[in-house]
Amino acid sequence: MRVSVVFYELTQKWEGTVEAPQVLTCEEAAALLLRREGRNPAEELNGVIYMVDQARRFPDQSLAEGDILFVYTLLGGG
Amino acid sequence: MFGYAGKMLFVNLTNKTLEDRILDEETARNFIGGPGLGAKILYENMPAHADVFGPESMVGFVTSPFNNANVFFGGRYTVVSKSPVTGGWNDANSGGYFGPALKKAGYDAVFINGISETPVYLYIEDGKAQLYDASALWGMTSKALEAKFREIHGEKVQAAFIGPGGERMSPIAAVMNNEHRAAGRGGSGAVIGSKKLKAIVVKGEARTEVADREGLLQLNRELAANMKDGPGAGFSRAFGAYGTGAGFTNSTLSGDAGVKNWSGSGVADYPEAMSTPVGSVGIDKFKKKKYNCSNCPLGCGAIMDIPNDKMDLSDTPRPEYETQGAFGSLLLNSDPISVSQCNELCNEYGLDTISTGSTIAWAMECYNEGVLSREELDGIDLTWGNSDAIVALCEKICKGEGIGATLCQGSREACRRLGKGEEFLVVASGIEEPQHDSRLAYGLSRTYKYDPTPGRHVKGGIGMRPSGPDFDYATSGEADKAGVILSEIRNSAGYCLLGGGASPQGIIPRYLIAVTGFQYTPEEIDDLGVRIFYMRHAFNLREGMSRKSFTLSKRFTEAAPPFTGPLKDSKVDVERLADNFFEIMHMDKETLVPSKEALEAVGGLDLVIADLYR
Ligand code: SF4
Repeated sequence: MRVSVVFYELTQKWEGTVEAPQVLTCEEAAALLLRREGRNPAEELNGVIYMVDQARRFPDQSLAEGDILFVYTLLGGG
Repeated sequence: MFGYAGKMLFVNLTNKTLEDRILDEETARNFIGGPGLGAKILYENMPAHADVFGPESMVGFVTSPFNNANVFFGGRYTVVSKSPVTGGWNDANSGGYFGPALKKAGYDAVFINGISETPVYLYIEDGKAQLYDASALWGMTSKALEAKFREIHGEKVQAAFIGPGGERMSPIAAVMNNEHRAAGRGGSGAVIGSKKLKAIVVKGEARTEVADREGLLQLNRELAANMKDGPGAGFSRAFGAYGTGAGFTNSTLSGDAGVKNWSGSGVADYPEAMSTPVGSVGIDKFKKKKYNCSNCPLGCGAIMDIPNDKMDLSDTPRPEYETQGAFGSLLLNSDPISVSQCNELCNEYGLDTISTGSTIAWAMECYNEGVLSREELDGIDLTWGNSDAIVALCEKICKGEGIGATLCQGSREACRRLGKGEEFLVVASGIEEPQHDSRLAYGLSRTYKYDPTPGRHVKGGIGMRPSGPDFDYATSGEADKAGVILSEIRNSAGYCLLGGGASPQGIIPRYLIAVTGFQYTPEEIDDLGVRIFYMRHAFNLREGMSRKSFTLSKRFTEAAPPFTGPLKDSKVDVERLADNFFEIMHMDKETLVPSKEALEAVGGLDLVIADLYR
């Protein structure tokens, strides 16, 4: 399957596309993209919020072909 | 005693007496400082059921052992009083430079009761205190007032003060210092105004001796390394560059920040094109320089120059995340200039930005739903997102003019006086809510509703971690209690909440031991946090409060249709969370009275036990 992932980090937004032979969950898709960028999913996906089609999704929910997954980093401003 | 000046000042404004009292070691060890020490002193020195604006009502300015002790992030002091909004306990803290300066002037805390006939300010220099006439300063706004104090007492003075908002006893009035730092929440500014006290002005060069200077410096090095390349690096980079509003867009889109008076969602009502200009990244082009509080290695603040033809916004502080939310997303306002105008107005007139923006949000929803008319709003067209109208109304609230005289009472009291709009109130025991939605982070609902100071995101509990279907109610009590312990110790020690994101875990108790030399065991650290919570809570119990006294608007527990976006259908069982918390804290679930055994176990609460179990 092929899905787009849009990362909203605190100070920047970036995106990429990931492909896999099997169905991906939200967390798997986000992790694939992060790993490809040489980053650490275990640390960076802790406490993020996922959304597809303006609705919240949870880490182990499956994505569908062509979905655009939004990932929001949230550190809670003071 | 290490970490303390060892002395507190008690002032009675009715008969103009000033009295020094020793801060004894046992009290310091048991209550640290800030809200812990403040709660203990007010409980002992202020009678139950005292009229919040009467002469018996006491207000305290309380430093902490970390102030002036070279602890990174350790510059916060706390204002304590009864709250004119909740009728119960209030504490609110502030950064900047006042806390350390009060300690340098020779005092750990200043407590004030009585009422002066005419306006006064208290001046303390090198351990000597004196009251001065403030008639000519009454009515002055922040920048001019601080400039005046520098003119009178020299460049090195620091001041904590109220603006015109506090003078007219607005329950959303803040206590200000350093022009734009605020102990904002709960209405202590109004209590100070009721005493006709304009300010406390301090100057001094006293050192705060610490027990283990080398150990403390080592902790600072450890913290700095954590910020540079450790787990705190990402947070420190983002917050150091952009401040608390670094993730404003994320917060609005993900359901964290309030949108449309908490009735809307970012994705549907306040999309990226609206939030990005308001957030810190969007306004970075106006940044002139960074701002750090005393001894802060992060510096989440900034000073900006914003060219515009409406208001002088040169040298204006960058709005905090909370302010961006309260005057931005909550009102569907995408104009950053107007957010800064409101921020500047609130700072100058000494009002809490969260409560002011939220009160406008309430009025805005009332207006857009036909509950309040344009005439009732002095002709202001308060349609969603109308930035000129928002600034105009904010100015009226700050000056207490026209409809502003009603709205400066806060949303709940304005609703009561106008006799309508109750369905649009979003408050916890009357306190307007901060910009973190407990329908996203369920644990916050317990803190908002039942902390001794309701409606605060900076108080203890499970915190801001987003929740979902896997939320574990069964273990919430444990997590809640652990969060409370950490928060009570952090706030009482004077450590900035944001320092938590930059610091290695567990550093605060280690700092506390290095500074004070009190050799707390891990068990004693837990007891310390629980004791301080009980002490703050005991103030409320003595006022006759019980579980039914605490309220939380439904908009903070349910996102019922037509709600769309990430919080759609979200529902949190705040009472279940509360039951779990009360159980683990050994509190009766209706009266909220802690068991005698639990109070005795943590120790240091003899007076509370005597009152509750006489
Ligand atoms: S992190 Fe920000 S609020 Fe906290 S002490 Fe530093 S500058 Fe002040």
